[in-house]
Amino acid sequence: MSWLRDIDIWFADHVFVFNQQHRRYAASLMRQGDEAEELVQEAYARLFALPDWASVANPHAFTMRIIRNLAIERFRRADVVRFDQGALLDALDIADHAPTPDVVAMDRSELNHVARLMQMMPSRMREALHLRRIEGLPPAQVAERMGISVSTVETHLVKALRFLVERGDGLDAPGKAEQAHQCKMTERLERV
Amino acid sequence: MQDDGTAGTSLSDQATRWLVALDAGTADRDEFEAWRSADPRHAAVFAQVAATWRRTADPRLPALLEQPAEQQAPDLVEEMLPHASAMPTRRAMMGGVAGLLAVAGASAFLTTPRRASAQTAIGERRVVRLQDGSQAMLNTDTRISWRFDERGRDLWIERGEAALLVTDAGQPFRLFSDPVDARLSAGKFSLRLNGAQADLLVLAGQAAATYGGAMAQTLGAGSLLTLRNGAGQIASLSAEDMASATAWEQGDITFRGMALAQAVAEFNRYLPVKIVLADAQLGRLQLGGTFHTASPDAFLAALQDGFGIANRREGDAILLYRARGV
Repeated sequence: MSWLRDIDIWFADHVFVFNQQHRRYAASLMRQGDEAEELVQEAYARLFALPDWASVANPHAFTMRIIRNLAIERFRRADVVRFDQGALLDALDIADHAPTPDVVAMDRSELNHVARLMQMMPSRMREALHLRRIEGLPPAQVAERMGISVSTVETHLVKALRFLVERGDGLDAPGKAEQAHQCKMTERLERV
Repeated sequence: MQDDGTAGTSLSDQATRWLVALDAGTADRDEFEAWRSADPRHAAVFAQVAATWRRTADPRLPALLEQPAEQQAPDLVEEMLPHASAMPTRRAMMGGVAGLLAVAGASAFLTTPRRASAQTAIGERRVVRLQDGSQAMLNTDTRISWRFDERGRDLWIERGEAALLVTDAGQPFRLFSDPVDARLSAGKFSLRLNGAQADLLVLAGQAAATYGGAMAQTLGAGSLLTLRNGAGQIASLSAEDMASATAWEQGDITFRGMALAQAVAEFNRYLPVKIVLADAQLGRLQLGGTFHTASPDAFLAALQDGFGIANRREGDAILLYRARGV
Protein backbone atom coordinates (compact mmCIF):
# COMPACT_ATOMS: atom_id res chain seq x y z
CA MET A 1 0.00 0.00 0.00
CA SER A 2 2.64 2.46 -1.05
CA TRP A 3 -0.08 4.98 -1.75
CA LEU A 4 -0.52 5.39 2.01
CA ARG A 5 1.96 7.93 3.27
CA ASP A 6 3.22 8.37 6.82
CA ILE A 7 0.92 11.31 7.30
CA ASP A 8 -2.08 9.12 6.37
CA ILE A 9 -1.18 6.57 9.02
CA TRP A 10 -0.50 9.31 11.57
CA PHE A 11 -3.84 10.88 10.73
CA ALA A 12 -5.71 7.57 11.05
CA ASP A 13 -4.09 6.63 14.36
CA HIS A 14 -3.95 9.98 16.13
CA VAL A 15 -6.66 12.14 14.63
CA PHE A 16 -9.36 10.18 12.86
CA VAL A 17 -9.85 7.84 15.83
CA PHE A 18 -11.28 10.91 17.56
CA ASN A 19 -13.57 11.74 14.67
CA GLN A 20 -16.66 11.37 16.87
CA GLN A 21 -15.37 13.93 19.31
CA HIS A 22 -14.43 16.33 16.52
CA ARG A 23 -17.88 16.07 15.04
CA ARG A 24 -19.62 16.49 18.35
CA TYR A 25 -17.49 19.41 19.30
CA ALA A 26 -18.07 21.08 15.92
CA ALA A 27 -21.79 20.36 16.28
CA SER A 28 -21.79 22.01 19.68
CA LEU A 29 -20.25 25.12 18.15
CA MET A 30 -22.25 25.38 14.95
CA ARG A 31 -25.97 25.21 15.03
CA GLN A 32 -26.27 23.54 11.67
CA GLY A 33 -25.11 20.04 10.91
CA ASP A 34 -23.57 20.76 7.52
CA GLU A 35 -21.63 23.70 8.93
CA ALA A 36 -20.24 21.48 11.63
CA GLU A 37 -19.12 18.91 9.09
CA GLU A 38 -17.48 21.64 7.00
CA LEU A 39 -15.62 22.78 10.05
CA VAL A 40 -14.27 19.29 10.72
CA GLN A 41 -13.27 18.82 7.10
CA GLU A 42 -11.57 22.20 6.99
CA ALA A 43 -9.68 21.41 10.18
CA TYR A 44 -8.49 18.09 8.73
CA ALA A 45 -7.41 19.84 5.55
CA ARG A 46 -5.34 22.26 7.66
CA LEU A 47 -3.51 19.28 9.13
CA PHE A 48 -2.60 18.10 5.66
CA ALA A 49 -1.23 21.53 4.84
CA LEU A 50 1.14 21.47 7.84
CA PRO A 51 4.81 21.32 6.94
CA ASP A 52 5.75 19.65 10.25
CA TRP A 53 2.80 17.48 11.21
CA ALA A 54 5.04 14.91 12.88
CA SER A 55 6.06 17.40 15.56
CA VAL A 56 2.52 18.01 16.78
CA ALA A 57 2.59 16.76 20.37
CA ASN A 58 -1.10 16.09 20.85
CA PRO A 59 -2.79 15.78 17.45
CA HIS A 60 -6.27 15.39 18.92
CA ALA A 61 -6.03 18.50 21.08
CA PHE A 62 -4.41 20.32 18.19
CA THR A 63 -7.31 19.41 15.92
CA MET A 64 -9.84 20.52 18.52
CA ARG A 65 -8.07 23.85 18.72
CA ILE A 66 -8.14 24.27 14.94
CA ILE A 67 -11.88 23.55 14.99
CA ARG A 68 -12.32 26.12 17.70
CA ASN A 69 -10.29 28.75 15.85
CA LEU A 70 -12.16 28.10 12.63
CA ALA A 71 -15.42 28.55 14.51
CA ILE A 72 -14.21 31.86 15.87
CA GLU A 73 -13.20 32.98 12.37
CA ARG A 74 -16.65 32.09 11.12
CA PHE A 75 -18.25 33.83 14.02
CA ARG A 76 -16.41 37.03 13.21
CA ARG A 77 -17.47 36.89 9.58
CA ALA A 78 -21.05 35.85 10.17
CA ASP A 79 -24.04 38.18 10.09
CA VAL A 80 -25.95 35.95 12.40
CA VAL A 81 -24.47 34.47 15.51
CA ARG A 82 -25.26 30.81 15.48
CA PHE A 83 -22.83 29.14 17.76
CA ASP A 84 -22.68 28.43 21.39
CA GLN A 85 -20.07 30.52 23.13
CA GLY A 86 -20.30 28.39 26.21
CA ALA A 87 -19.23 25.34 24.25
CA LEU A 88 -16.43 27.36 22.75
CA LEU A 89 -14.94 28.03 26.14
CA ASP A 90 -15.14 24.38 27.10
CA ALA A 91 -12.73 23.49 24.33
CA LEU A 92 -9.64 24.55 26.17
CA ASP A 93 -10.34 22.13 28.98
CA ILE A 94 -10.31 19.27 26.54
CA ALA A 95 -7.07 20.47 25.00
CA ASP A 96 -5.40 20.81 28.36
CA HIS A 97 -6.05 17.55 30.08
CA ALA A 98 -6.65 14.98 27.40
CA PRO A 99 -3.29 13.81 26.13
CA THR A 100 -3.40 11.50 23.16
CA PRO A 101 -2.09 8.03 23.91
CA ASP A 102 0.74 6.97 21.64
CA VAL A 103 -1.30 4.45 19.79
CA VAL A 104 -5.04 4.46 19.82
CA ALA A 105 -6.48 1.28 18.44
CA MET A 106 -9.93 1.31 16.96
CA ASP A 107 -11.98 0.69 20.03
CA ARG A 108 -14.49 -2.05 20.49
CA SER A 109 -17.54 0.07 19.83
CA GLU A 110 -16.16 1.40 16.56
CA LEU A 111 -15.21 -2.11 15.56
CA ASN A 112 -18.73 -3.27 16.35
CA HIS A 113 -20.06 -0.42 14.29
CA VAL A 114 -17.98 -1.48 11.28
CA ALA A 115 -19.06 -5.10 11.77
CA ARG A 116 -22.72 -4.13 11.91
CA LEU A 117 -22.44 -1.96 8.83
CA MET A 118 -20.83 -4.86 7.01
CA GLN A 119 -23.74 -7.05 8.02
CA MET A 120 -26.25 -4.46 6.90
CA MET A 121 -24.83 -3.78 3.45
CA PRO A 122 -26.29 -5.42 0.35
CA SER A 123 -24.94 -8.91 -0.19
CA ARG A 124 -22.82 -8.47 -3.35
CA MET A 125 -20.94 -5.54 -1.87
CA ARG A 126 -20.47 -7.42 1.34
CA GLU A 127 -19.21 -10.49 -0.45
CA ALA A 128 -16.67 -8.48 -2.47
CA LEU A 129 -15.48 -6.61 0.60
CA HIS A 130 -15.27 -9.79 2.65
CA LEU A 131 -13.24 -11.66 0.06
CA ARG A 132 -10.88 -8.76 -0.55
CA ARG A 133 -10.41 -7.47 2.99
CA ILE A 134 -11.14 -10.29 5.39
CA GLU A 135 -10.00 -13.24 3.33
CA GLY A 136 -7.39 -11.04 1.65
CA LEU A 137 -7.83 -12.42 -1.87
CA PRO A 138 -6.36 -10.39 -4.73
CA PRO A 139 -8.98 -8.64 -6.89
CA ALA A 140 -8.60 -11.13 -9.74
CA GLN A 141 -9.43 -14.02 -7.42
CA VAL A 142 -12.33 -12.13 -5.91
CA ALA A 143 -13.64 -11.70 -9.46
CA GLU A 144 -13.25 -15.41 -10.11
CA ARG A 145 -14.97 -16.45 -6.90
CA MET A 146 -17.87 -14.11 -7.58
CA GLY A 147 -18.06 -14.97 -11.28
CA ILE A 148 -17.73 -11.35 -12.37
CA SER A 149 -15.12 -9.09 -13.97
CA VAL A 150 -12.42 -7.28 -12.00
CA SER A 151 -13.96 -3.95 -12.88
CA THR A 152 -17.29 -5.10 -11.48
CA VAL A 153 -15.47 -6.16 -8.32
CA GLU A 154 -14.11 -2.62 -8.14
CA THR A 155 -17.61 -1.23 -8.54
CA HIS A 156 -18.84 -3.38 -5.65
CA LEU A 157 -15.87 -2.35 -3.52
CA VAL A 158 -16.45 1.34 -4.27
CA LYS A 159 -20.08 0.94 -3.21
CA ALA A 160 -19.12 -1.01 -0.11
CA LEU A 161 -16.53 1.53 0.95
CA ARG A 162 -18.91 4.39 0.23
CA PHE A 163 -21.51 2.61 2.37
CA LEU A 164 -19.04 2.51 5.25
CA VAL A 165 -17.75 6.05 4.77
CA GLU A 166 -21.24 7.55 4.58
CA ARG A 167 -22.33 5.77 7.71
CA GLY A 168 -19.04 6.10 9.50
CA ASP A 169 -20.31 9.05 11.48
CA GLY A 170 -21.56 6.61 14.04
CA LEU A 171 -25.27 6.01 13.87
CA ASP A 172 -24.83 4.88 17.35
CA ALA A 173 -21.16 4.28 17.91
CA PRO A 174 -20.65 5.64 21.37
CA GLY A 175 -17.10 6.78 20.70
CA LYS A 176 -14.59 7.08 23.45
CA ALA A 177 -14.97 8.25 26.97
CA GLU A 178 -15.49 11.91 26.67
CA GLN A 179 -15.00 15.04 28.58
CA ALA A 180 -18.43 15.99 27.27
CA HIS A 181 -19.89 13.86 30.01
CA GLN A 182 -18.81 16.39 32.50
CA CYS A 183 -21.83 18.32 33.55
CA LYS A 184 -22.18 21.37 31.45
CA MET A 185 -25.23 23.37 32.18
CA THR A 186 -26.15 26.75 30.92
CA GLU A 187 -29.09 28.77 31.97
CA ARG A 188 -30.30 30.16 28.72
CA LEU A 189 -33.84 31.35 29.22
CA GLU A 190 -36.15 31.72 32.10
CA ARG A 191 -39.29 31.30 30.06
CA VAL A 192 -40.50 28.38 28.00
CA MET B 1 -10.74 13.85 -11.94
CA GLN B 2 -10.42 17.48 -11.15
CA ASP B 3 -13.06 18.87 -9.01
CA ASP B 4 -13.46 21.16 -6.08
CA GLY B 5 -16.08 19.08 -4.44
CA THR B 6 -18.94 21.13 -5.77
CA ALA B 7 -19.17 19.87 -9.33
CA GLY B 8 -21.00 16.57 -9.49
CA THR B 9 -19.41 13.89 -7.35
CA SER B 10 -18.35 14.64 -3.83
CA LEU B 11 -14.73 14.63 -2.74
CA SER B 12 -15.39 11.60 -0.63
CA ASP B 13 -16.73 9.76 -3.68
CA GLN B 14 -13.65 10.66 -5.67
CA ALA B 15 -11.37 9.55 -2.87
CA THR B 16 -13.27 6.27 -2.58
CA ARG B 17 -12.87 5.56 -6.28
CA TRP B 18 -9.20 6.44 -6.18
CA LEU B 19 -8.59 4.17 -3.27
CA VAL B 20 -10.31 1.14 -4.75
CA ALA B 21 -8.53 1.66 -8.06
CA LEU B 22 -5.18 1.97 -6.27
CA ASP B 23 -5.91 -1.16 -4.30
CA ALA B 24 -6.78 -3.06 -7.45
CA GLY B 25 -3.70 -1.71 -9.21
CA THR B 26 -5.76 -0.10 -11.95
CA ALA B 27 -5.13 3.52 -11.04
CA ASP B 28 -2.72 5.86 -12.77
CA ARG B 29 -0.37 6.71 -9.92
CA ASP B 30 0.79 10.03 -11.32
CA GLU B 31 -2.75 11.14 -11.93
CA PHE B 32 -3.65 10.12 -8.38
CA GLU B 33 -0.70 11.98 -6.85
CA ALA B 34 -1.64 15.05 -8.87
CA TRP B 35 -5.17 14.84 -7.53
CA ARG B 36 -4.07 14.29 -3.95
CA SER B 37 -1.55 17.12 -3.93
CA ALA B 38 -3.86 19.57 -5.69
CA ASP B 39 -5.58 20.53 -2.46
CA PRO B 40 -5.08 19.61 1.20
CA ARG B 41 -8.77 18.83 1.34
CA HIS B 42 -8.23 16.06 -1.20
CA ALA B 43 -5.43 14.62 0.91
CA ALA B 44 -7.55 14.90 4.07
CA VAL B 45 -10.60 13.22 2.57
CA PHE B 46 -8.47 10.48 1.03
CA ALA B 47 -6.86 9.79 4.41
CA GLN B 48 -10.28 9.47 6.02
CA VAL B 49 -11.47 7.02 3.38
CA ALA B 50 -8.20 5.10 3.75
CA ALA B 51 -8.67 4.95 7.53
CA THR B 52 -12.12 3.43 7.03
CA TRP B 53 -10.73 0.99 4.48
CA ARG B 54 -8.01 -0.04 6.91
CA ARG B 55 -10.63 -0.87 9.53
CA THR B 56 -12.22 -3.45 7.27
CA ALA B 57 -9.12 -5.62 7.56
CA ASP B 58 -8.96 -5.46 11.34
CA PRO B 59 -8.03 -8.95 12.60
CA ARG B 60 -10.79 -8.78 15.23
CA LEU B 61 -13.53 -8.34 12.62
CA PRO B 62 -14.11 -11.92 11.44
CA ALA B 63 -15.05 -13.04 14.96
CA LEU B 64 -17.46 -10.15 15.32
CA LEU B 65 -19.07 -10.84 11.99
CA GLU B 66 -19.70 -14.38 13.12
CA GLN B 67 -21.36 -13.17 16.26
CA PRO B 68 -23.82 -10.40 15.60
CA ALA B 69 -24.85 -9.45 19.09
CA GLU B 70 -22.70 -7.08 21.02
CA GLN B 71 -22.21 -5.82 24.47
CA GLN B 72 -22.54 -2.07 24.32
CA ALA B 73 -22.23 -1.23 27.97
CA PRO B 74 -21.08 -3.19 30.98
CA ASP B 75 -24.47 -3.08 32.64
CA LEU B 76 -26.25 -4.71 29.71
CA VAL B 77 -27.56 -8.19 30.02
CA GLU B 78 -27.74 -10.26 26.89
CA GLU B 79 -30.61 -12.54 26.40
CA MET B 80 -29.95 -15.98 25.02
CA LEU B 81 -32.79 -17.06 22.87
CA PRO B 82 -34.31 -20.34 21.86
CA HIS B 83 -32.47 -21.67 18.79
CA ALA B 84 -29.55 -19.32 19.25
CA SER B 85 -27.31 -22.26 20.05
CA ALA B 86 -28.10 -23.84 16.70
CA MET B 87 -26.50 -21.00 14.79
CA PRO B 88 -22.79 -21.49 15.41
CA THR B 89 -23.00 -25.10 14.28
CA ARG B 90 -24.78 -24.10 11.16
CA ARG B 91 -22.32 -21.34 10.47
CA ALA B 92 -19.34 -23.52 11.23
CA MET B 93 -20.62 -26.04 8.72
CA MET B 94 -20.80 -23.54 5.91
CA GLY B 95 -17.86 -21.48 7.06
CA GLY B 96 -16.42 -18.23 5.85
CA VAL B 97 -18.37 -16.08 3.50
CA ALA B 98 -20.92 -18.73 2.77
CA GLY B 99 -21.77 -18.80 6.45
CA LEU B 100 -21.89 -15.05 6.63
CA LEU B 101 -24.22 -14.80 3.69
CA ALA B 102 -26.38 -17.60 4.90
CA VAL B 103 -27.00 -15.80 8.16
CA ALA B 104 -28.35 -12.87 6.27
CA GLY B 105 -30.15 -14.97 3.70
CA ALA B 106 -33.56 -16.53 3.89
CA SER B 107 -32.10 -20.03 3.94
CA ALA B 108 -30.82 -19.56 7.47
CA PHE B 109 -34.21 -18.58 8.71
CA LEU B 110 -35.09 -20.17 11.97
CA THR B 111 -38.56 -20.06 13.34
CA THR B 112 -39.98 -19.08 16.66
CA PRO B 113 -43.20 -21.06 16.82
CA ARG B 114 -44.73 -19.06 19.62
CA ARG B 115 -44.26 -15.46 20.50
CA ALA B 116 -41.13 -14.98 22.58
CA SER B 117 -40.73 -11.94 24.77
CA ALA B 118 -38.21 -9.92 26.73
CA GLN B 119 -38.49 -7.05 29.16
CA THR B 120 -36.53 -4.64 31.29
CA ALA B 121 -37.12 -3.21 34.75
CA ILE B 122 -36.92 0.49 35.57
CA GLY B 123 -33.37 1.70 35.03
CA GLU B 124 -32.33 -1.42 33.13
CA ARG B 125 -31.18 -1.73 29.52
CA ARG B 126 -30.79 -4.94 27.60
CA VAL B 127 -29.72 -6.09 24.16
CA VAL B 128 -31.73 -8.94 22.72
CA ARG B 129 -30.25 -10.73 19.76
CA LEU B 130 -32.86 -12.15 17.45
CA GLN B 131 -32.31 -15.31 15.47
CA ASP B 132 -32.05 -13.55 12.09
CA GLY B 133 -29.10 -11.48 13.30
CA SER B 134 -31.28 -8.46 14.05
CA GLN B 135 -31.06 -6.88 17.46
CA ALA B 136 -33.42 -5.12 19.78
CA MET B 137 -32.11 -2.84 22.47
CA LEU B 138 -34.60 -2.27 25.24
CA ASN B 139 -34.56 0.93 27.22
CA THR B 140 -35.86 1.22 30.78
CA ASP B 141 -39.23 -0.35 31.67
CA THR B 142 -39.83 -1.90 28.25
CA ARG B 143 -41.48 -5.05 27.00
CA ILE B 144 -41.25 -6.55 23.51
CA SER B 145 -42.31 -9.81 21.96
CA TRP B 146 -41.68 -11.38 18.56
CA ARG B 147 -42.52 -14.26 16.31
CA PHE B 148 -40.33 -15.18 13.35
CA ASP B 149 -41.51 -17.77 10.90
CA GLU B 150 -41.67 -18.47 7.19
CA ARG B 151 -44.21 -15.68 6.73
CA GLY B 152 -41.86 -13.09 8.06
CA ARG B 153 -40.53 -11.39 11.14
CA ASP B 154 -43.07 -9.78 13.46
CA LEU B 155 -42.05 -7.81 16.50
CA TRP B 156 -44.26 -6.07 19.03
CA ILE B 157 -43.29 -3.24 21.32
CA GLU B 158 -45.77 -3.47 24.13
CA ARG B 159 -44.50 -0.70 26.32
CA GLY B 160 -41.48 1.52 26.79
CA GLU B 161 -38.81 2.19 24.19
CA ALA B 162 -36.69 -0.02 21.98
CA ALA B 163 -34.16 0.47 19.19
CA LEU B 164 -34.14 -2.13 16.44
CA LEU B 165 -31.21 -3.00 14.26
CA VAL B 166 -32.80 -4.87 11.39
CA THR B 167 -30.74 -7.08 9.10
CA ASP B 168 -31.53 -7.70 5.49
CA ALA B 169 -32.80 -11.26 5.72
CA GLY B 170 -35.03 -11.34 2.67
CA GLN B 171 -38.04 -11.76 4.93
CA PRO B 172 -40.29 -8.82 5.70
CA PHE B 173 -39.84 -7.22 9.10
CA ARG B 174 -43.01 -5.85 10.66
CA LEU B 175 -43.16 -3.76 13.78
CA PHE B 176 -46.37 -3.55 15.78
CA SER B 177 -47.49 -1.38 18.67
CA ASP B 178 -50.79 0.00 19.92
CA PRO B 179 -50.56 3.36 18.16
CA VAL B 180 -48.53 2.51 15.05
CA ASP B 181 -47.44 -0.38 12.84
CA ALA B 182 -44.58 -0.26 10.38
CA ARG B 183 -42.86 -2.37 7.79
CA LEU B 184 -39.13 -1.95 8.14
CA SER B 185 -36.29 -2.31 5.66
CA ALA B 186 -32.80 -3.22 6.85
CA GLY B 187 -31.63 -0.36 9.01
CA LYS B 188 -31.97 1.11 12.43
CA PHE B 189 -35.17 2.28 14.04
CA SER B 190 -36.50 3.24 17.40
CA LEU B 191 -39.98 3.41 18.81
CA ARG B 192 -40.92 5.04 22.07
CA LEU B 193 -44.34 4.69 23.65
CA ASN B 194 -45.01 7.40 26.16
CA GLY B 195 -48.59 7.58 27.36
CA ALA B 196 -50.67 9.25 24.67
CA GLN B 197 -47.60 9.88 22.53
CA ALA B 198 -45.56 7.58 20.30
CA ASP B 199 -42.34 8.44 18.47
CA LEU B 200 -41.08 6.33 15.59
CA LEU B 201 -37.59 7.34 14.50
CA VAL B 202 -35.80 6.09 11.40
CA LEU B 203 -32.03 6.27 11.94
CA ALA B 204 -31.12 4.26 8.85
CA GLY B 205 -33.20 2.48 6.24
CA GLN B 206 -36.88 3.04 5.55
CA ALA B 207 -40.13 2.46 7.34
CA ALA B 208 -43.63 2.32 5.88
CA ALA B 209 -45.78 3.37 8.82
CA THR B 210 -49.51 2.96 9.23
CA TYR B 211 -51.67 4.38 11.99
CA GLY B 212 -55.28 5.26 12.53
CA GLY B 213 -56.35 3.33 9.42
CA ALA B 214 -54.55 5.72 7.05
CA MET B 215 -52.43 4.79 4.02
CA ALA B 216 -48.88 3.76 4.74
CA GLN B 217 -46.44 6.66 4.96
CA THR B 218 -42.86 6.13 3.96
CA LEU B 219 -40.24 7.50 6.32
CA GLY B 220 -36.61 7.82 5.29
CA ALA B 221 -33.50 8.03 7.44
CA GLY B 222 -33.60 10.98 9.79
CA SER B 223 -37.41 11.11 9.91
CA LEU B 224 -39.37 11.17 13.11
CA LEU B 225 -43.05 10.31 13.15
CA THR B 226 -44.76 11.63 16.25
CA LEU B 227 -48.24 10.40 17.04
CA ARG B 228 -50.34 12.13 19.59
CA ASN B 229 -53.85 10.92 20.20
CA GLY B 230 -53.91 9.28 16.79
CA ALA B 231 -52.72 12.33 14.83
CA GLY B 232 -49.34 12.00 13.13
CA GLN B 233 -46.67 14.53 12.34
CA ILE B 234 -43.41 13.90 10.48
CA ALA B 235 -40.29 15.90 11.20
CA SER B 236 -36.80 15.65 9.82
CA LEU B 237 -34.15 15.48 12.52
CA SER B 238 -30.65 16.93 12.47
CA ALA B 239 -27.70 14.70 13.33
CA GLU B 240 -27.63 16.41 16.70
CA ASP B 241 -31.32 15.66 17.36
CA MET B 242 -30.75 12.04 16.40
CA ALA B 243 -27.78 11.81 18.73
CA SER B 244 -29.91 13.14 21.59
CA ALA B 245 -32.76 10.78 20.77
CA THR B 246 -30.47 7.77 20.86
CA ALA B 247 -28.23 8.86 23.75
CA TRP B 248 -30.00 6.34 25.98
CA GLU B 249 -28.37 3.49 24.08
CA GLN B 250 -25.12 4.52 25.76
CA GLY B 251 -26.89 5.10 29.05
CA ASP B 252 -26.86 8.85 28.56
CA ILE B 253 -29.55 11.45 28.71
CA THR B 254 -29.10 14.72 26.83
CA PHE B 255 -30.95 17.94 27.46
CA ARG B 256 -30.63 20.77 25.00
CA GLY B 257 -32.61 23.75 26.12
CA MET B 258 -35.16 21.47 27.74
CA ALA B 259 -37.42 22.80 30.49
CA LEU B 260 -36.51 21.40 33.89
CA ALA B 261 -39.99 19.90 34.35
CA GLN B 262 -39.54 17.84 31.19
CA ALA B 263 -35.92 17.01 31.99
CA VAL B 264 -37.01 15.67 35.36
CA ALA B 265 -39.74 13.61 33.71
CA GLU B 266 -37.12 12.16 31.34
CA PHE B 267 -34.78 11.33 34.18
CA ASN B 268 -37.58 9.80 36.23
CA ARG B 269 -38.12 7.11 33.61
CA TYR B 270 -34.87 5.57 34.85
CA LEU B 271 -35.32 6.08 38.56
CA PRO B 272 -37.17 3.89 41.01
CA VAL B 273 -37.11 6.88 43.38
CA LYS B 274 -38.63 9.80 41.48
CA ILE B 275 -37.53 13.42 41.45
CA VAL B 276 -40.32 15.94 42.12
CA LEU B 277 -40.37 19.73 41.91
CA ALA B 278 -41.35 21.71 44.98
CA ASP B 279 -42.96 24.40 42.86
CA ALA B 280 -44.02 24.58 39.23
CA GLN B 281 -42.09 27.80 38.67
CA LEU B 282 -38.84 25.85 38.92
CA GLY B 283 -39.93 23.60 36.10
CA ARG B 284 -39.63 26.42 33.55
CA LEU B 285 -35.92 26.75 33.88
CA GLN B 286 -34.22 25.67 30.67
CA LEU B 287 -31.04 23.69 30.72
CA GLY B 288 -28.58 21.74 28.65
CA GLY B 289 -26.13 18.97 29.40
CA THR B 290 -25.43 15.26 29.19
CA PHE B 291 -25.73 12.89 32.14
CA HIS B 292 -25.62 9.22 32.85
CA THR B 293 -29.06 7.79 33.51
CA ALA B 294 -27.53 5.49 36.09
CA SER B 295 -26.21 8.34 38.21
CA PRO B 296 -28.81 10.99 39.01
CA ASP B 297 -26.41 12.36 41.64
CA ALA B 298 -24.38 14.21 39.00
CA PHE B 299 -27.58 15.77 37.69
CA LEU B 300 -28.67 16.80 41.17
CA ALA B 301 -25.21 18.17 41.91
CA ALA B 302 -25.22 20.20 38.69
CA LEU B 303 -28.60 21.67 39.59
CA GLN B 304 -27.25 22.60 42.99
CA ASP B 305 -24.00 24.10 41.72
CA GLY B 306 -25.24 25.72 38.55
CA PHE B 307 -28.69 26.87 39.54
CA GLY B 308 -28.89 26.89 43.30
CA ILE B 309 -31.54 24.19 43.25
CA ALA B 310 -31.15 22.02 46.31
CA ASN B 311 -32.64 18.58 46.91
CA ARG B 312 -33.63 16.44 49.83
CA ARG B 313 -35.17 13.07 50.28
CA GLU B 314 -38.86 13.20 51.17
CA GLY B 315 -40.45 9.84 51.72
CA ASP B 316 -40.01 7.86 48.52
CA ALA B 317 -39.16 10.88 46.36
CA ILE B 318 -36.36 13.41 45.87
CA LEU B 319 -37.64 16.94 46.28
CA LEU B 320 -36.06 19.80 44.32
CA TYR B 321 -36.40 23.25 45.78
CA ARG B 322 -34.86 26.69 45.34
CA ALA B 323 -32.18 27.07 47.99
CA ARG B 324 -32.49 30.15 50.20
CA GLY B 325 -30.16 33.06 49.75
CA VAL B 326 -29.16 32.27 46.16
